[in-house]
Amino acid sequence: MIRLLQAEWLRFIRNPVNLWVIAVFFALLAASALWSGLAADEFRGREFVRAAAIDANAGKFTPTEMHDAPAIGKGGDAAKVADSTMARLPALGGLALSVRQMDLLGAELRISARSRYSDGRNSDQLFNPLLRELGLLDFAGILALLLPLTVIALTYGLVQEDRARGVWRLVCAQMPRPWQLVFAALAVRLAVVLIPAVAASLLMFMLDSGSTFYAVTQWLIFVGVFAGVWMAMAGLFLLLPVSAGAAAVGLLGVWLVTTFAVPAALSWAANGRQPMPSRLEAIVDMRRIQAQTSKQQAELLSAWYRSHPEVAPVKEPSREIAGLPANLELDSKVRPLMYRFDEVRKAHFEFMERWSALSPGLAALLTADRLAGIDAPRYAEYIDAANQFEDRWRAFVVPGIMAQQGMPPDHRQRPVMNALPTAETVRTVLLRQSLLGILLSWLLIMLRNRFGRP
Amino acid sequence: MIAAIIRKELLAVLRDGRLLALAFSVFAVLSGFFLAAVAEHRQVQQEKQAVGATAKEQWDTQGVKNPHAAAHFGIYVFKPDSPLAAVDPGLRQYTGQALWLEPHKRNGARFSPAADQGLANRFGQACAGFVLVALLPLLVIALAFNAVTQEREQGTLRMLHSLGVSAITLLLGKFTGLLLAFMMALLPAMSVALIILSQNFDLGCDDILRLLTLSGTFFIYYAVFAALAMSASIHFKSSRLALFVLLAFWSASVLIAPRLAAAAAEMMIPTPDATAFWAGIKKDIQHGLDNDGDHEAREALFNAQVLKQYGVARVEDLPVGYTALKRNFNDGYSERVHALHFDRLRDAFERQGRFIHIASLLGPSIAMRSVSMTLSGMDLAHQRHFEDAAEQYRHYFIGLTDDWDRERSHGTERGAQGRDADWGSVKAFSYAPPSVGFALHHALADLLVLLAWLAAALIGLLFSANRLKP
Repeated sequence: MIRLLQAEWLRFIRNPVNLWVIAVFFALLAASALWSGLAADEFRGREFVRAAAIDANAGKFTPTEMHDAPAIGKGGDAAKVADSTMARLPALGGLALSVRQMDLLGAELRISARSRYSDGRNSDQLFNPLLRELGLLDFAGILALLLPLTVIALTYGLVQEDRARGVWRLVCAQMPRPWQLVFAALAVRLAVVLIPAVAASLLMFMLDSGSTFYAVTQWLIFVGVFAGVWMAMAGLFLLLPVSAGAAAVGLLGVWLVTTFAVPAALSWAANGRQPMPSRLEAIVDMRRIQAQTSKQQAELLSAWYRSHPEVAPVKEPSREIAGLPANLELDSKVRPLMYRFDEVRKAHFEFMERWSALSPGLAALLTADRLAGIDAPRYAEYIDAANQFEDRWRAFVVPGIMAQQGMPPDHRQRPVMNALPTAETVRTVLLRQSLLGILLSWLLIMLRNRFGRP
Repeated sequence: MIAAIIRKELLAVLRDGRLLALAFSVFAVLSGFFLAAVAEHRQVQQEKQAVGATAKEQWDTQGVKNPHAAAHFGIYVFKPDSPLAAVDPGLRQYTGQALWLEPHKRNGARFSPAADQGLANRFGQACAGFVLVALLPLLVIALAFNAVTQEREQGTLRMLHSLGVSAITLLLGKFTGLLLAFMMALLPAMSVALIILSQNFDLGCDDILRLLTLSGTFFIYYAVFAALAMSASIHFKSSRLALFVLLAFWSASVLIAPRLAAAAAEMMIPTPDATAFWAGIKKDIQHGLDNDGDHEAREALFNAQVLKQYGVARVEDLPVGYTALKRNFNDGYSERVHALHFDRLRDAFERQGRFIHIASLLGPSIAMRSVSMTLSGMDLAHQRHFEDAAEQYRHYFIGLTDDWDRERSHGTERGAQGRDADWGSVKAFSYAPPSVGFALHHALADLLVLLAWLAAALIGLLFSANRLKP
């Protein structure tokens, strides 16, 4: 077998087309790795600066600005209440794999006595929609697109072309087990595809100062399985009694279906099981609640003082104080409305994970999102933690505001947000991809004797 | 002679069975995507209309309250999408679905569907536009990659040479036959699409013009791929190499170039951070633009001017509401600052879009995608047109509430009140989308890129004729 591997290696490297394919594959992966690694590192830098600023302001309270009206001057009509802090979704060790997806999430949330859902600017990110539509160089996406195409190019006509030229007849006449030659060729190609994929992955993780050993190992295991799945698939297509071109076009069809059609179909199925609520209808519901709470402002104010007998009612409350209980009531009703979106996204993500064996490309994205810490289940957990933190924060600051006494003097008693887990498991996807790989390899081994047909 | 070659080419493709397989798969895929897209488009439009009407009704029935408090309830507006958005939803996934108009500040559109849909569209939107731009060129390649190599491999090229057929005539005949065959494969799907569109939407003259231009542009796009595929088929001795190179070109054009271009555009022309963007607006309002003076200086000047205008010594003596007057003045300044920052941001987006054209050197797909989304009214230019119209509407209704507040109070007293009749008198937002001329103006650069690709591909094809040897 070693001799066969050596022979196949020589045959591989003496074909300049193969070398070109590998060179282009590595160049593109390396470009993506560089971009992703640097972008992730820059993101962490910004995160660090902001976290430091939040810590530096630990003893101070930032006013919640709800609009761009100028700061209150001498003739100001109401004092702004300083009552806010920030919550951030911490990125995990594999951030570089899916770095730009972070932009679509509201990773930074303002925690205050006001409802964050009634301010259009607090959670929305700025990005050029055109760039997002064209797609970015996030490493996981690029690898998921290019690795299968490289496998298709490198395995093109391995058996069929030799068969068309009559060479395969000679191979069958000279070898008792021609499948060994095919398996050796596939093994060489697997190694040659894996080397640039692993090298580029390592380059990317090295550039990201926040990458972790756990993320690196989990990702490299996934890359190995992913490449194995495609190589086994290519091996099965070599068995087909068709021309090399037809086999390549067939494999390309499988790539198109599994990469583009299956994720869309799975999304459609997930939405059928648990439909995503309408954001537009949520707007109407939110406004209805806003109108209600606005009308009940005076009653809610008295009710708040009744339920907090330890706080003396303010005789002529400012607009902020008069509206605060209504704001709290509004938020208590709007929060569950908005949390539904996170719950459904979580359910869709988990559904896709369960069916990820149908689409290796999708599996790559699911793994990347988990390792980056931006997957929907973690995000839902983050929102839940942020909501709990906000409740404790309000319990801490609201009595002071309502008593017109300002903030509690001892900022060491400030509540802190519960930490989220520092690593995410990718077991579900890895297991399913491994099972797919084992199934395809088993099928290839079972059908290996068919390579003996001239 | 050329007619005979075209007929032969058509017959050959028909007898090959590839055309039938292609026509069937194109019909199934395009019709399926198109039906789903039309259903989604109708649902989104109906939902926007219904929610818009309910939101306006909520605005109209706020009851008795201060006009400025009513203004803070705000109004949501929604961009009505053109029927062609069913063909290409363009940037719909990434632009927000709703725009909230409120006093003092200008917002961006909120709730991009991509944030909720997550993974499904990460490799490309599952829509008719994706099939037309990304997948159909693959079918052109599948039809054309062995158009000449096969003749060479079977020895028929030698026979054609011996008959005295000129290389250029042969190539043009093959090219035309191939395009006709492809259009025949596409025709059933396009006819069904047209019927579905006309039955589901009221297509105006503008929509039809956009549709015709879009169809013509797609024809140019496919002609580029067909000409390149023919050239590759002449240039490379084996079908294998021709297919290899064409697939590499397709990957570069459809998958790699857009991503490289987007990443490079973001690096060269960075998008400002959201926090910095909003903070910049706030700072400029507070400290003033150029030599306008800071907020307090501006307000002091305004006070003096108002007192002089009304001939009173104190603001308390003004016959109109001072708070509303001052607010209106401050908001006027704020609108100027917002317009400046928003224009800067959107100019940066436009510059990024222009930068992306450089990547059109790697393939025509970026230009085609841009033209497609522009003609469908789903690009940045149309979004900007809508947002500007919405901003004008914001000025209108906030101005109205300020007028009521000013007229119904006096001095520093703030007892002005409005009623449902007032809120109901605010005209509903009515948006007139721009004409096809606007779309063509914004798509001009991309159209030129496509034409340049076509010219280059055809010149390449004619030059390849010299290499057409058995």
